[in-house]
Amino acid sequence: MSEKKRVRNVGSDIPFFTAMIGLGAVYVGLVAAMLIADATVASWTDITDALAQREIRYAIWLSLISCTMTTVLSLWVAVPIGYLMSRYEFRGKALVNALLDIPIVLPPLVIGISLLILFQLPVGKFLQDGLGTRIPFMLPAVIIAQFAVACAFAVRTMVASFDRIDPRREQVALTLGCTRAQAFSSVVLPEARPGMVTAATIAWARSLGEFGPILVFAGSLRMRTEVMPTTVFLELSVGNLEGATAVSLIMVTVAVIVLVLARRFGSRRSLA
Amino acid sequence: MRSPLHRSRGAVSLAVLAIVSAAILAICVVLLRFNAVRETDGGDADVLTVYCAAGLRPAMEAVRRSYEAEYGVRVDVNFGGSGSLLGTIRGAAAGDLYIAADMAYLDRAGQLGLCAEVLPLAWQNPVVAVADGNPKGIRGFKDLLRDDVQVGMANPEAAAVGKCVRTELREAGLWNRLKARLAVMKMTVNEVANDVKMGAIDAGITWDATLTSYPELEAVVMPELVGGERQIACGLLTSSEVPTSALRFARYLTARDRGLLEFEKRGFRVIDGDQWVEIPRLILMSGAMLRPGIEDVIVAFQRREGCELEATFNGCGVLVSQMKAGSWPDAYLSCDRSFMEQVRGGFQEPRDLSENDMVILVQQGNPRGIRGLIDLREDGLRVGLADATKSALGALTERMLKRAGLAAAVNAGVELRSPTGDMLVNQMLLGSLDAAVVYRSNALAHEENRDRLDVVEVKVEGATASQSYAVARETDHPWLLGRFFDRVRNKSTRGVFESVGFRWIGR
Repeated sequence: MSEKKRVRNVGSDIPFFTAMIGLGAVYVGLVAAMLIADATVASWTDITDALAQREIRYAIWLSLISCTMTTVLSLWVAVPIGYLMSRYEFRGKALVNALLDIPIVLPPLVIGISLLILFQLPVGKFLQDGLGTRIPFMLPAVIIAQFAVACAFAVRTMVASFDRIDPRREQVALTLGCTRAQAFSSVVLPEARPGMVTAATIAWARSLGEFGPILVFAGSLRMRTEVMPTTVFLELSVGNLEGATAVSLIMVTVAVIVLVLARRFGSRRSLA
Repeated sequence: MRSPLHRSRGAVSLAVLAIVSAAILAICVVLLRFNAVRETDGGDADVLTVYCAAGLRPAMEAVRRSYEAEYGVRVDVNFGGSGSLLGTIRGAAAGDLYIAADMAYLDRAGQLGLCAEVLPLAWQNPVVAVADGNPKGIRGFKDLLRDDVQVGMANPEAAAVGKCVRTELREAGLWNRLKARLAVMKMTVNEVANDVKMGAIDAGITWDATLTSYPELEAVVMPELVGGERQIACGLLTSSEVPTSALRFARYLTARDRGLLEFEKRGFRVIDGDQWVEIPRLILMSGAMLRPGIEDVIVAFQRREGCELEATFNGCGVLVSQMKAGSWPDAYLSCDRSFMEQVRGGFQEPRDLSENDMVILVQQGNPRGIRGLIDLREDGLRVGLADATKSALGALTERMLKRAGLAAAVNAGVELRSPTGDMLVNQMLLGSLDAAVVYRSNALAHEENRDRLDVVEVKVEGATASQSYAVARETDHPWLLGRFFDRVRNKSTRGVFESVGFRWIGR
C-alpha cells in the first residue's frame, strides 16, 4: 500500500513499467495460453464425462485428502527444521543443507525408486511389521511419496521465512523471562505465519502435481492409489487426450480454488 | 505458566496449532480409512497385484472387472511402461504378474530371477502412425527421411517398440539414417501416438495394436519393420505368494473364450489360447518307465496350476491300443519314438526328452554268470521279458534279439512275459526270475533294486529307447500342457531323470 502512495508520475517510469509488464506478461500469457489450449481439446462434455466416472471422482478426492495430509506433515517438519537451520550454526550444517536439497534436485522417479528400495530393506520391513501394514502400493505410499518431495520445498520456504525474522525480539522475550518455547510460540511463530502459509501452499501445490514418485512407489491402482496426475497419465496411455486434458482442467480448477482460499485465509490471519 | 508477553490479537499458541493440525490429520485418516474399508469389502479372498503395460489398459480393465465379478478375487493393476514396470518390480520385490508389451522384457525378468511361467497373449508389429488420410503421403521408409516429415518414435532404452525398431533397422543398416532424422524420442509408445494425434509430428513409429485406441490415426506398414513382430505376454512373478491364484487369473486372461476376447475386440492379434475352465482336468498317457522321472513333477504341477492332471502309466503298446480305440489323452509321453510314430496323427510335433538303455537284470552277485544276451539261452534259466504287443520294452527287446539272431532260442526259455518293466523288476525281487531284460531306469528306480539286484550291460545295436512327448491336436489346453512340459524339461527334473538312469536329450 505504502509503495503505491510513493508512486510519482514521471515520464521515465513509462519505459520501465513497459519493460517490467512486458516481460511479466510473457509468462502470465504463456500459462493462460496453455489453459486455453487445454480448453480447445477438452469440451465441457469431456469434463462432465470425466466427473461422472467413479474412478476419477476417487482420484480427485484422494488428491485433496493426501495433499492436505502431506501439507500438515510437511509443516510439522519444516517449521522446526527451518527454525534450527536459520538460527543456529552447528557442525555438519552444510551437509544437512545439502541433504535437504536432494529431494528438490533429484528426478522424481529416483525418489520413487529410492522409497521402494528403502521399504524392502530390513528397516523398511521392520517399520511395516510395526505398523502392521504393507506400505508400497498402498495409500500411505501416496502420502509418503508426496511428503518426500513437498517437505523439501516447505523447509526451504521456512528457512527463508525465519531468516527474515529479527532474532532480537526473541532474545528480548527470553530476557523478560520467557522460556524458549514461550518465546518461540509468542514471538517467532506469529511473525513466521506468512511464511507458514506460503510453505503450506507450496507443499500442497507440489503434492497435487506429484506424479513420478507416486507412480513408482504407490503404483497406479484405480480406486486405490490413483491421484489426479496418475489419471492424466493413464488416460494419455490409451490415447484419450480429451479425457486427460479434461482431468488436467479439473485439477487446475481445484488447485486455483484451494490456493486462492488458502492465501486469502492466510493473509487475513497474518494481518490480524 | 502465563507468558510474560502480551500476545498479539489473532496469534495462536503453538499448542493450538499442533492440536488443530493433528485434528486435520485425524479427520483425513478417518476419511481414508472409511473409503479404504468400502473398497476392500470382500474379505479374505486373495488379492493379486499385476503390473501391466499401459497401452493394454482398456482390455485389461475389462478382463479385471469380469474376473473380479466372476470369482470375487480382487485384482490390483499397476499400469506403466514395460521397461519402467520392470524397474518397479525389481525394487518392490512383490507382486504376482507382469504383463509386458514385448516378450524381451519377460526374458529379461526371467534372467533376473523375477519371472517364472510365461503365458503369451497377442502379437503386435511396429508400424508408422500417420494422421487419418495420410496428408504427407508417407508410403515407405524413404519418406521418413524427407525434410518435410517430422518423425518421432519411442526411446529404445525405455519402451518395447523403440527397442524393437532399433533392432530391426540396425539389421537392415538403416538405423543411423533414421536416427539422424528423428524429431523426437518419447518414453512410451502412446506419447508418440499422442504427438501424431496432436499434429506435433507427422509420423510416429508405434505398435499396430496401439492404434486401436486412436481412430483418428492410420497405420502405414513398412517392409523394413515387418520382421519386428513381438509378443505381448504375461509372466508369473517369483515374488508371488499366491502363485496358484495368480496363474488362475493368468489362464483366465489368456483364455480364448475369456480374456483374449476383450483383446481381440480391441484389435489385438491374439494367440489361439486355451479354453477357460476354472479347474482344468487333463489326461496324460505315459509309458510306465517314465513314472519315476515325472511322478513328482505331476504332483507339483497340479498344485501350482490348480488343475488336475490324471496320469495313466502303462506299457506303450497298451496305451497306443487305447488311443487307436478312440481314447485320446491330452498329452502323451512315449517310451520309444516308434510308439509315438504309430499315433503321430493325433498329436502336435513331438519333442525328444531322454534316452534309456536296456540292460539285463540279474540276482545280486550274478550267481548264473550271465555276461550278455547270448547267456539268456541257457537251459533252466528263468528269464523274464516284456510283452512285445503291450510295451515298447517288449517290442524293442524282440527287435534286439532278432538282430542278434537269438530270438527263437531266448523266447523258448521265457518264464514270464509282462506288460511293463516294473513288473519284471518285482518278480526279480521276489526271486521268481533269474534274469530279466528291462530299462536301466527300471533297474535304478528304487534303492532296494540297487541293493538286491545287479545290472549286466547289453552292448548290442538297438538296445536304446528314445523317449519323446507331444500335446494332442484336439486338446483344449495346449498352453497349459506346454507349461507342464516346460516343467518336465527343467533342470531339477533332468536331475531326477539322470539319477534313475536316463540320458537327457531334451532341448
